[in-house]
Amino acid sequence: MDVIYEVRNLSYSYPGSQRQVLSGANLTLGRGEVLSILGPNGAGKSTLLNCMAGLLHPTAGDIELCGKSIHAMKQREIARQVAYVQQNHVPSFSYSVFEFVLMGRAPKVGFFGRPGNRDREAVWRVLSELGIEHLANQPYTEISGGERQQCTIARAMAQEPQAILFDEPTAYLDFGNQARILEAIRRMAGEGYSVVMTTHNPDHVILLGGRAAIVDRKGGLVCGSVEEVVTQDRLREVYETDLRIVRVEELHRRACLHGELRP
Amino acid sequence: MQASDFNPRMEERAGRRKAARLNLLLLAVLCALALLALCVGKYPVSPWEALGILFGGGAEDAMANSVVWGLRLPRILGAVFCGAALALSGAAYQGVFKNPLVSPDFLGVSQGACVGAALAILLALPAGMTQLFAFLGGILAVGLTLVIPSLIRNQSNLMLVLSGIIVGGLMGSLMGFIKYIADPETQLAAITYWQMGSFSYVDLEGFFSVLPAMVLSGACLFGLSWWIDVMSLGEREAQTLGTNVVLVRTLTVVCATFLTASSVCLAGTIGWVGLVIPHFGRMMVGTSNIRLLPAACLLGGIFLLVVDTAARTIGTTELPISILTGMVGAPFYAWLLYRRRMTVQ
Repeated sequence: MDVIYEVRNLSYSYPGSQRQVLSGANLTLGRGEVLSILGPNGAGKSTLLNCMAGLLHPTAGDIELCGKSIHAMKQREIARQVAYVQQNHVPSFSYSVFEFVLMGRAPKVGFFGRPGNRDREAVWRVLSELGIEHLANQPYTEISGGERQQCTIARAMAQEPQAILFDEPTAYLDFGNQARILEAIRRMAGEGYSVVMTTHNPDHVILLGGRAAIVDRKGGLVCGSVEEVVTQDRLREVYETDLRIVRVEELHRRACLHGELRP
Repeated sequence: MQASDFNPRMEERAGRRKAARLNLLLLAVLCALALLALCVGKYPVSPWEALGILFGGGAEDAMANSVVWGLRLPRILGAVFCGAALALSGAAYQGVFKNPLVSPDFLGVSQGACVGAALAILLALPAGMTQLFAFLGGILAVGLTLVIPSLIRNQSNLMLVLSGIIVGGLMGSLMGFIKYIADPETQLAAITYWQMGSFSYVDLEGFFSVLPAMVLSGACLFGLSWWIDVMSLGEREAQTLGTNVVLVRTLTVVCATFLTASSVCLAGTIGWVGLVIPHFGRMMVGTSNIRLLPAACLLGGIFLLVVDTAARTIGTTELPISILTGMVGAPFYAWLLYRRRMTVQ
């Protein structure tokens, strides 16, 4: 299997800070694999994604993207291989959904250039694949949060990358939209994209399957299959709370639930 | 909405075509208004006469000849190009700082350029230096405006606007100081002229001396228009889309500042155009800078042409142009804010 990401001994601490947000993290990600990253608030989940997107430079260690060290790559080169869906926000200007998704073509557009018909065709393909063609001419600022998340996914796909990084894609979404995003992520993996996402919900990790990683408060990282990594003992330790991983016979799967609330 | 008779692809294409047609229409309106402006004034000329003077080798009426060539044409060119330059720089600043509230006035660029020009006059430097000083003053002011929020570690839109007010105030008092120590006989009038803004002393020589800077910076911004769209998503997102953020931002700010400074060199500070016209343009052709920048240029040109022609034809003495742009621009901006509230919560 092709290896897309290879992270070796990655450490990061923010400038001027003693605390290591990540220390000696290792992970690999192959083509078409899904990797879900769990961890408590303030652990280095987003930092790890930012390093993998080339936005932050690790204090030690190395990240290889498709066999090439990411430090040796220009941002534009990285953007041709990696799309990064950051947490949902509303931009200052009301671009139409089409114009917004079209910006995903940026890595393929020249410096003084603008997108052409081929880029527009690519955007229509993605929009129809996601079934959101009808949103194309609506202002991006005036659609619902779930629709907006669909649009950012569309923009990431318009980039035609090898890997897509999601920073908490299910945050701020209602129960139904959370499931739809997870479905979209699984579908993308089926099409050959490698997907990395961070989440606060262990149940989503179990639901998605594939690979999982947990960042703990000291910056350590364990990575492996969901069955190996997402265990009751480990989650209890990481989240410092009572939780259960139970098998739900109706669903034929494991589920992660809160235990007793403390009095 | 019915799914059957609804084709988003056609709608998208129609939107682009409509914007292109609208821009052509604006260009036609601008040309017609320019011709009209050539004709009106204390010495009326008929449109045919004016065309004959411009393209047909002159008229028998020597007075009409000199009025059209010597007075009205430079003034019209000045008003149209300054309007276009200010609107274009306003739209570019708004995009690259992802802030629809900024403009050359709000970022302190106009005031800074004015201080630069006044300083050049105070030091009795040659005319070419005035332009350079105006540009340096503008760059210095916008740099200061950008540094303050990062020093306070608050990069919000509001902070940028506040910072612009601080720098604008500082430049205002510097301006007061320069006027205070200027020679009231010779320099003060010239400096006041810069500050108030007027097209009445624009001549062809002055116009052609700033034209290259204007055209070059304008062309550069047109070339970058789609990248300004990408930048307006925010620095991080633009970066993950592979944008050379530093290069696009620097180039945009330098070009927009050049445009503002060139306009200040030619006609002094003229408020409101850079803030209001881009908003008006967005209402007409949409948000994308590919369509907005040409529309903003044309609308800015039309706006200043109309205002300047009104300034020289209404009443017996000429009104300073900033008075009129303020009277039109401020209520219009209030109306825009009201409208935005209605449509975007």
